[in-house]
Amino acid sequence: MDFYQPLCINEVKDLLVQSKFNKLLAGGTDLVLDIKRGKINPEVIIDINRIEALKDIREDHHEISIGSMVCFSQLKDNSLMNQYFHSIVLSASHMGSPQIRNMATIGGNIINKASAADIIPCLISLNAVLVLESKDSIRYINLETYFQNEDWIRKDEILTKIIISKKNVLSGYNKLGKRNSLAIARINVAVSFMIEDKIIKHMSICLGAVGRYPFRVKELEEKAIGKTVDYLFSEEPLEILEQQVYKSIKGRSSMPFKKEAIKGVYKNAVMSSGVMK
Amino acid sequence: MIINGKSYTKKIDPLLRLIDFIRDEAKLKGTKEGCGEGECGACTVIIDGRAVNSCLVLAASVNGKEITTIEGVSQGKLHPIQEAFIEVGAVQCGYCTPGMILSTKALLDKNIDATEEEIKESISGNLCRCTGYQIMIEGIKKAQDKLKKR
Repeated sequence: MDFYQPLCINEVKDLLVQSKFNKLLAGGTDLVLDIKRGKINPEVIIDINRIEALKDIREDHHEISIGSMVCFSQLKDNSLMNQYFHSIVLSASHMGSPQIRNMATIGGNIINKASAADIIPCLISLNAVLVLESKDSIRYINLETYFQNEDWIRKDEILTKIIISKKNVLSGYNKLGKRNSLAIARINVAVSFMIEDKIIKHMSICLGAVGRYPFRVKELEEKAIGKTVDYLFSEEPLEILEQQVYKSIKGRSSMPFKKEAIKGVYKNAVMSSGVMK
Repeated sequence: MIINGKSYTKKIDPLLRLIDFIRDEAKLKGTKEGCGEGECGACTVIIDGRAVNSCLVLAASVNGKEITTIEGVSQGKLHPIQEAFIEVGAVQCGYCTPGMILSTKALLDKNIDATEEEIKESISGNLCRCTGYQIMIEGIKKAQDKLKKR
């Protein structure tokens, strides 16, 4: 077993090419447990905690880029996140415990692709793009496509950042867990909107923990366009969501509960976006 | 790594967890293992000013960093947080206490004026099975007063 602590991204790319059975160590909240439980036994651990370039949140003219090693505490407290992406702040604030938020990273949450991952529905609803880099290439992949096509990160790649356009959107998030802190989402919903004079110009909604991976509800997004914001609390969106959840998890014992519960979680998510103000 | 101001240099298994290094190599037994899965907070330590679960950290990963365990909180005499916990009776079996005190310290070092909501939030990753939490919150408020008067 070899353990490396590179100080720059290029060093990581070289190491990824050299070793086949490697694991990148980000926050460690999943990896260390998997090692302890004997689920994985990597030949090489590449600890990327020392790479400062992966811990930045930067603003450009049109977009914000979030380094993959930004932890949830940073997301929760960051002024750019608070200014542009309310859903991310809400999701980061309700993830795990203070200790976990100090360790777990946005990149780790994406790459581990848990069905109940907290941040992924928010990023998909905000149309986030992943930047995957290797020694020979850079790939830009829309996060929704990443999950839809199961076009996973390659063994020689590292997720360096997540890019989100900062066009003027309202966004919200809600999750249903079994308790207040440390809860794994039973259902989570992220929404984002562009509204002009109370008319919905754009809507994006992503559901988590009601399928193998988080997914958008295109039917609702299309129907909402051109309607007033009151539409969001009418019967039609609730029926669409119920049907979607039914279709997605109809074989599961949690389906009867989740197809009802989705409605409340959706309403809370919409309310949290401030769209009704 | 540096634990409570003392430097430790040792060749270790890359898979050794920080909690095991603290307890078995540095022989500091105040840091407890509860669930071993990052849920209970008994193993909380402070790394670079932030509370983390030492059961989810590889010791090799914190090479060169500064770590504070419960043994490093009191210097010569009890820390005001420890005094306050004793005075209000916030300690029963004591297993969660080191983690609880370190989570409190991480909060109050940054924000001495933390509100009750912020206090509750800061210890939400620390489970206690005997005291109940209210008395700890009282202890933390008392610690705030003591620290302000210092």
